[in-house]
Order: sequence, then structure tokens, then C-alpha cells
Amino acid sequence: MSGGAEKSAYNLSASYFNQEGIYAPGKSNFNRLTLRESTDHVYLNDHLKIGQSLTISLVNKKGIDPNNIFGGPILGALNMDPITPVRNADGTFGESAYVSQEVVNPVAKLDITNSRYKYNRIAANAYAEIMFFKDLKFKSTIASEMFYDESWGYTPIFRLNAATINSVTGTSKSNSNMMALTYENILTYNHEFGKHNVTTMVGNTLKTDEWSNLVGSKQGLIVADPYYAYLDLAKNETSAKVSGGINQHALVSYFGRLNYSYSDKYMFTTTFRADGSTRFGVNNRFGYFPSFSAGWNVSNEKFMENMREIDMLKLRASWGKNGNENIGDWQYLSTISFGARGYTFNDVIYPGASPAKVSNPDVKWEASEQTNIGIDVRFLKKFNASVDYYIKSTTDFLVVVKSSDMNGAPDAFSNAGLIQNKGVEFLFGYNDKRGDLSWNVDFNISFNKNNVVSVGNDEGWISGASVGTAMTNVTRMEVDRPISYFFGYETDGIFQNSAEVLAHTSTDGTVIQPKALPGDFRYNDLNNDGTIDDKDRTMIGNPNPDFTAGLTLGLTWKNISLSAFFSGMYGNDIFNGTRRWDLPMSNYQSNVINRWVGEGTSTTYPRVSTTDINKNFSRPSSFFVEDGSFARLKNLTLGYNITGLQKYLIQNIKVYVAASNLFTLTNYSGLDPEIGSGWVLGTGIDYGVYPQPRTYTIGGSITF
Amino acid sequence: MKKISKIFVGLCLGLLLVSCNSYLDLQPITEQTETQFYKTETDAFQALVSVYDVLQWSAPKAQNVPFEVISEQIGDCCYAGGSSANDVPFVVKMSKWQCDVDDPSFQALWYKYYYGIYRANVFLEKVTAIPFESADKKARFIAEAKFLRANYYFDLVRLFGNVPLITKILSSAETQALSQTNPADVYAQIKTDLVDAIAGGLPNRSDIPAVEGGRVSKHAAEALLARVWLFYTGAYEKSDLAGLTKAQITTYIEDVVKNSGASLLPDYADLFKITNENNAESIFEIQYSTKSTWGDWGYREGSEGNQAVILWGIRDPGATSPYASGWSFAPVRASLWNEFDATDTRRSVTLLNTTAEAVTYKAGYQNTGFFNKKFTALKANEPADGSRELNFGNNYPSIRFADVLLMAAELQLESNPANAQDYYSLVVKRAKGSAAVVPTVTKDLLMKERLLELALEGHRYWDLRRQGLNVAKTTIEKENGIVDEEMKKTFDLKYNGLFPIPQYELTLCKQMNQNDGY
Repeated sequence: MSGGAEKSAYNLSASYFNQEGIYAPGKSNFNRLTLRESTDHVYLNDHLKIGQSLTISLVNKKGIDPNNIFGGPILGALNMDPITPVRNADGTFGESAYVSQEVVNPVAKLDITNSRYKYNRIAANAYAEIMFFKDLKFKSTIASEMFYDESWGYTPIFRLNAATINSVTGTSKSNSNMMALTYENILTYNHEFGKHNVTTMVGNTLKTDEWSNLVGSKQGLIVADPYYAYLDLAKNETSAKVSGGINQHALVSYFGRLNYSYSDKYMFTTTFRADGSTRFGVNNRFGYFPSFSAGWNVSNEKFMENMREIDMLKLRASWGKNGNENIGDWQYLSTISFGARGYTFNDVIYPGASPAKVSNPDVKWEASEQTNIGIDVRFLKKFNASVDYYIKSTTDFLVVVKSSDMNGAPDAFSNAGLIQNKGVEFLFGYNDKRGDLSWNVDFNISFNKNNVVSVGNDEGWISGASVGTAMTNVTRMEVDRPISYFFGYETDGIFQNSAEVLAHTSTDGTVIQPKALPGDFRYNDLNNDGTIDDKDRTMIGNPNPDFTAGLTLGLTWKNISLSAFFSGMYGNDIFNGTRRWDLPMSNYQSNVINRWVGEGTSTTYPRVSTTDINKNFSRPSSFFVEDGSFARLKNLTLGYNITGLQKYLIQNIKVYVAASNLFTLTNYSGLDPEIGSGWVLGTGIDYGVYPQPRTYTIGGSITF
Repeated sequence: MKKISKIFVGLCLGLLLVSCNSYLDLQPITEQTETQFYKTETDAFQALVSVYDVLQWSAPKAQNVPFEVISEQIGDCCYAGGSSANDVPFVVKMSKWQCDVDDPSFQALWYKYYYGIYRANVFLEKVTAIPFESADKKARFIAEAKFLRANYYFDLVRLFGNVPLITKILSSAETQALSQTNPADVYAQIKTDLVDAIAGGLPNRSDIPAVEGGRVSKHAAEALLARVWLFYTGAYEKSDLAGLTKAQITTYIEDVVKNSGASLLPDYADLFKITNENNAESIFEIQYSTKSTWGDWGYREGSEGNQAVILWGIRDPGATSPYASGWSFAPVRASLWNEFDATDTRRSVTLLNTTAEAVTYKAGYQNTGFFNKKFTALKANEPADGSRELNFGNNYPSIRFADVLLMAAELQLESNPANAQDYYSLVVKRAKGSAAVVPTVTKDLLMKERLLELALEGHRYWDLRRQGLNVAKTTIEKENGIVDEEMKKTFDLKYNGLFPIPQYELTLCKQMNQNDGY
């Protein structure tokens, strides 16, 4: 459509962002170019609005493995012995004579890491909104999102240690693209009569996405240089591999909403939605999610008119349900896998096929049910506060329940259990002003208690993450425990002498750790059966915090502004897995200096030996659990506004200097107490997390 | 205007109400589902191949536990080895029979065999409904799956002793409710599967064309049954295997000797050449290949290569040596060299004597200077593509005709001494030349000959174990008085020669119990 609009608006923006990684210059970086454009037009006395927007992002990325106990360079750096040089005299990379397996020279590891990744994302949408008459509107939106991913891999010839050798060069290239289409129709009716206001809305959304890829790899590059790492320059024809596939997913939603308010005093909203997903079998395809909420604006009542001190007072209550289908596709089907199941007859590989996993045809929507009551208040024109109490129950929790290997195939997702979070959130704000000076303080704190109410299997627990190869099932999801709690042995100090070893007995007099030597941990024999085994494991830590808090301070004087943002967490534990305890020759951290070396020398750090008969370092125990509480200055910004430039058509110039992550108060001994996890049962385990950088920024903006 | 509005309202309502549910009727496109699969002969063959696949899982769950390697490490011929005492701590503990119940290696072995068993069970259940053009072909496939299931159960029950017997597809809940089966019943099932496979359609060894090299023959099943019979009746002190008498098993093994078409290769040195696989002496040979060019260290099951080779290999032999660098696991007890006569051609084929061959290399843990030469890493065999450690192509001859002859001799020591003497002589004369003077065969001489003939092929520990726990203990610990602390071997009788049931399986499956002693 061109021209003819009564009113038009447009918006255009471009941005560029570039960041180098802190550990591996040239090997880990990120840059992004984003272009945005949108237009809106109004026709026929506001009866027709149409508009569109387009966003194009071009991202280039080189990466290294973050929080990874097996492949990460940070773990390599922490576990490498200090005697091995980074480079030998002849310039080749040093190789440790002590540490083995995946622990390799981290600089050499970075040197052979040569993956590049690039994606182009195009998001476009267009809408038309028709107002039939004042109260009735219909809006139809079509949105599409396209991702084009490309990645390149290059493997040079290398030898990092006896277990990590590569003798041929190779390259790989993969292209994948994803096309998502969303089509949404919403009909809204809004009517006001007297003090009543009613809005009803019904709509539906259809979202489909399709993903396909093509991957090729080949060995024998004619030049061993990442710059020339292309499939056409790899000449080993027999090594060529190619694969590609396609997948589709669709989500259909029907929804409705009813709002009612009376005189801006009483508000009531109810919604209902039915979501259908291809990720579930025919009988479980749809999930139904209602919600209700009510609000009472007490300050708008007559009887409050005399209470000048209270500017606003509102009470709120709500109950609602949400769905989650985030499990990947076809979990409900028993699919057949052809991958890596072949066998050779007479040196010819024949492909094999068997079920990819134990299927779960009954898998269904996970639902979170949340009940909330809250109060908002603003008083004396300077203060505001909110208090919320909530109970959030996640039912039919979607998780892979790792079951017996006797199943003969990997496990699928299932709906296992009910997890409850209860908590209170406080929010407090204060802002004031004297002359040219103004300031503000915002503080929030949230207390949350997590508890697993039920687990959908007979055991009442699901095992979670491992640390290294020796410590398995370090986390657990179990009834009446916080999710992902640390499951291990309780240490009770260190045996200082043989007499103490012999004195550590069960009720019937059995010496519990007869093989232990002075300097070894004394473990609590919780079931009093005279031996230390799996049955003595218990909760030794909780990665979930008691509370999290944030504090923002702001100060402005004339054109100068200063702001600071602090955040913190209290009461959470971290399982320190930054040392490869399963590889006894890996480097110890400096606290080993204070280890037990004779009677009375230590009650916390055991003796160090090559055999470790007492499994001081291979049993997950309270020794590895540390307090992860921290407070951190996340951001500090000093800004200056230059005004009075109107005659140059400039409204405002703002310049600023900012620093992030200036200091952290914590007792945690690892690199960074803020540990993310991609997996709920991996929470709070530090496998050598990529720490947050301290950055300093100088910037400016001009508004015309 | 009003009218147009009304039409629009109608249209829009129509858009809203139109059902989108049909968009949800998607099916996987590049993935097949169980209901679409298992329809044709090709599907059946692919399902059967997936059962074979588990045979070559030499490093399940990334654990270095090839059956033949650990079998030597827990016996009297090999130590743990590796680069240092801490290279793979589990192997050191296992080689001294000081195992931890939660060591991931046991879980890895458990996983391997139950995955193989599951795939056999899936195949056997699904194949019944698949139409075949030839009933013989169907019977052959079924017989192969039964052989493989028996093979997996035999290794599993030998290693762990008390294991649940699963012969059909179970739900996850049913699996978790399992309890252990009396070993006698597991052995009975192994016998049934093998007897069925023999009677039910496996081809004769000589009828399998070269292109099918590695497929199971009737004679392989008979030979495996004899191995099971000897182990079970010995280790469990029984006179028969689930009703299968000594006379009956003798008939089976005689069929292999007389009718399989197999023969001893004239030169022992030819047996382990990578260019001479699936040879005249091969009865059941696990196939490995360099061709998968595997590189994923996280899923080593996916490789078609033999990952025992890198374990056996010596460490850093240098650029001009014919040997390729390996990880120096399972170094061989030095005294084994002297148990061979100097005239025995097997000695220099079996053992890499680093002093005699003047090989330079880096000594690893428990170094003796002697390594297994039959499967060691050679530069000539190094795979051109993929990670070299994961892709050696050396086959593992699980059952050789020499083994068959020695088993047949052992079974007929009393019933047909002439046969026993003939078979024993064949093996000895191949090793020492036709002029060699062969003594009158006895049980002891046969056991000695089994050690020499089959050394470092993964059979010795099981030969000791079937002679009783005390024989195993005395033999394994026999050098303790004369060697350093580091080289001491121990065999604790309280474990009955069995590995612990993986701790994780016990916590999950409440009806199961840990093996005695752990």
C-alpha cells in the first residue's frame, strides 16, 4: 500500500555491539549488528490502522566452552600442574607429565579451538487493526521470524596429551535455517457505561515453525590453516560425511479475557486459554489454563479522602495457571534411531536401527499454578512500598527421569512430581529532592522457599548431576527436600590419630572406617550399620538461596548523575567442582597448603595421598560444599548531561562512565559465586564457570 | 459503511473461529517411529545389525573396559598399567580385586550388556510380524539374535553373577521392579537360546560367503555353548548345563571339529595380522573397522574401531618404530615369557619383549617391559581418518578353532582319549613344529596349553575361575612373595570372583541385592 495515510509514524535505528572474551582474545568474541525499522499508518478517521516492523540482526561469534568440567579451558587452567610450561623452549606447547585425560594445556586447547558461528535473524511483522465502531476492534497480525545459522569447524593436527591427539586436519560446515510463522487474530470489545468499564477479548494464535539443516565434514585439508578450512579444500574423499534433516513444531492457542472495573476502585480480570502443542500425543495435546485476579484501589474510596498522607493504596489477589511445553519434539513417540548403531561385516559398515529412547506416550503439559496476594502503597509523595506473598506450584514437572540402564535405551521426558515455591517479596522506594540535589533509593528483597512435594515415581527421588567421573548423582530431586539439593556424605572432622579411627564405631561396636588412616575424614554413619555406603548419604547443601536482594542508589546534582546497583544472594550453597578430584594428579588449589600433615594440623582439609583409600576426594561430601552467599556492586555509573544546545538542533548530549562488577563480597573460594545452569538439576555446581568480567565503559548519546 | 462493517465483522469472526487444530497433526519427517518401522526385511536386517552393534562397544560410557582387556587385568597375566597409578584409578583397584561399588566402570559394563539384550529382545518381538520372502532367512535372523542375546548374557552373568533375566520388552516401571534371577536360570536361558539358534536356522560356517564375514554360524553357536558349558559346570560345580549333559556338549563340539570346515592356520603368526581376518581358524570373530572414522570421545560406542588396541599399545615408541603409541595398559607379567619354550613360535607372536626387540618407549605404571603383541597398536594399522585411538581396525577373535580343539580335547579326556590326544597334538605341533614330541595329554597340560595358545586373548581368568576360587586365588597371587608392593596382585575370596552390582542400579531397583562381600 502506498500513500493516502492521514497520519504516519516511522522509526529507524541501527546498533553495533562488539565484545572480546576475557580469557581467549581472538578465540572468544561476539559482535552484533542490528537494524530496526517500523512504520504505522492511520486511515479512515482512525478506523483502520496498519503497520509493519522489520528487525535484522547479524551476529558473528567465536566461542569456548563455559562451565564444562570435561572440555572447558578454565578447568584446564585450574587443574594443570604448575610445573609444565605453557610453551617449551622450541615454541611447541608444553604437555604435562602428571595430569592426564581431559586436563590439557589450556593455552594449547584454545589454540586448537577454531569454531566460528554466525547467524542472521530477520523478524518481520505486519498488522491491520480495524475499528468497526468505537467499542469494537479487530486486530490481525502476521509475524515471521527467520534464522539462518552457519557454523564452521576446523580441526588442526595436534597433540595435547596422550589421550587428546588428532592426526588429520578436518573441517566441517553446517547450515541450518528456521522459519517461524505466527498468525494472530484478536477481537476486542470495550464499553464504558457510567462508572462501569468492561473489556472483553477473544483471540487465537497459530504458531508454526520449521527447522532444517545440512551438515558436512571432511578431512585432509591441503593447507592447515583455519582461513582455508573449507570442504572443497579437504581432499580425503572417503572421510566425507553429510547429513541433514527437518523438523516441525506447531502451537495453537485459543484465548479470551474479561476485564471489569468500577470507578477505578474495583478491578476484576479473568482469562482462559487453551494451548495445543505438537509436542504431546493426541490425548494430551491441549492444556487449559485459567486465571482470575481482583484489585481494590482503597485510596480511591471516599473514606480515604481525609488521609492525605496516603497517596495510593491498592490490594491485589490473583490465581492463575501457565503451561510449559519446553521438552523438544516427539518425546511422546517411540522414534527409531539409525545413528551410530551399525556393524561391519567383511569390513563394510551396515547401518543398524533401534528405538532412540524409552518412549513416554503419556507425557503432557507442565502447569504452574500461582496464587498471589499483594499490597501497593505510596505515601508522603516520597515513599512507595509493595509486599507480595505467593505460592507457586509446578505440577506435572517435565524432567528426564534417569532410570535403570536395564531399560536398554535412553530415557524420555516424563511428568514427574510437584514442586512448590512459597515466598514473600518486599519492594521499597524513596525519592526526594532539595534544590538542585535529588536522590532515590530502591530496595527489593525476595524470600523464597522451595520444596518438592511429590516425585512421580516409586522411589520418591530423581537423580541429577555428576561431578567428574567418580561423584555421581550429586544433586537430587526428592520429596520434602528443596529441588536439586546436594546429596552426599557428612564429614565430621578428621581422624587425628589411630585411636580416633578405632573409636569411631556404630552402636554395636563395629569400627566404621577400619581402613581409614589418621588424616582421613570421619564420615557420619547415619544409618548406624557400621559401614559407610550410599545409604549414609543425605542433604549436605541447598543451592537455592534463602533470599535475594537488590539495591539501587541514585544521586543527581544539576547535570551530574551518579547511580549504583548492588545485588546479592544469601543462604545458597555451591558444590565446588573446579578441581578434577577424580584425577588425583590434577593441580590442587592453594588451600591444600593447610591440609592435614600430622596430629592437630587440620580438622577440615584431609591428608593427600595417591591411593585415597578413604575416598576423601571421590565421595561427594560436605567438604566440597561452600556457602555461595554474595553481595556485589553490579554497576556504577557517573553521567553528565550537556544542555542548551538547541540552537544547533541538539536537545541533549549525555556522556557517562560506567563500571560493572566492581567488587564482590563472598566467602566462596571459586572464581565467581554467580553460577548459572542450563539444567534445573545442575543448579549450584561450579564446574569452572566462566566468570563475569569487570568492565569499564565510556559512552555518550545525542538526542536531536 | 455500516453494511461493509457488518460484513467485516462476520469475516473476522470467521477467522477467529476457524479451527487450527489440524496444524497440530504433525509427524516426524526425517525420523521414523516404531509404528512405521519393523515392516520389511530391510527393517528387520537393520534391527538385527543394531544387536550386533553392541558387540563392538569396547568403551561403553567412555570407560576403558573392553571385555578381553579387563579379563586379563583381573587374571594372573596382566597388571593394571596406564601412565601412572592415577591414570584410571578404577583399573588399579579392579586389577587387585578392591572394587568400589559406585565405580562408573561397572555401570558401563552393565549398560553395555543390557543395551545389547534389549535390542535383541526388541528384534525378537518385532520380527514375528514382519513378512519375509524366505522363511529360512527369517529363521536365520532370529537365530542370530538369540546367539547374540546368549553371548551378552554369558558375559554379563560371568562378570556380575546375580543379574535379572529379561527376555522381552519391559516398561520402565517393570524394569525397576525386577529382582535378580538365580544364575542357574540365566545359564538355562543362555543354553536355550544357543540350542534354539543351532537347531533353528543358523547356516554352517562354510556356507557363509566372504562378504558376510562376521555373521554368526551354527558352529559358532556350538562352540560358544561348549565354552558356556565348561565355565558353568566348572565354576558352579555342576555335572550338566540345565540338563545338557557332557555327552551332548561333546557331540556339539565334535560337530565343530569335524564339520565346520575350520582349520588351524599353518603359521601362528598369521593369526593376528589385520590383513588376515576372518581366516580359516576363525569361529566367532568380533568385527572392527577403521571405516567409521569416529571422532566423538563423548560417545565412543559409535565407533566401529577396536578401542582395546590403544590400551594394549606401548607408550611413545618413537618415530622409526613399527609400533604406534598407545596407553600402556595391561602390561604383561614378565614370567610369562619363560613359560613358553624357546622353540615355541607363539612366544614372540604373543609377547612384545621390549628388551629382546630393543624397543625404546616410555615406561608407564607397573611397567614390566612386556606387552601384548597380538593386538598392540602398529603404525601400519593406524587409521587414516578420525581419532586414531578410536578407530583401529583389528578384529577380536572371540572363538578360534584352536580353542575349539582344546575344548574338545578337554571334554573327551576320559570318554575318547585318542581324540583328546589328536586335538592336543594339532595345537602343540602347529606351535612347535611337526617334529615336536607331544606328551600324553592331561587336564593340567591342557590348561597350560590353553594359557600358551590363547594367552592375552581374554580367556585366562575364566579358565582359572572355572577350576575353582582357590585355584584362581593361588594362581593370581603366586608371585606376591617375589615382587614389589606395586606389582602385588590380590584376589579376595569373599567376592566369589564377581564384580559388584552397580550401586546406582541397586538404589533404583529395590528388589535387587549387592553381591556377597561388597
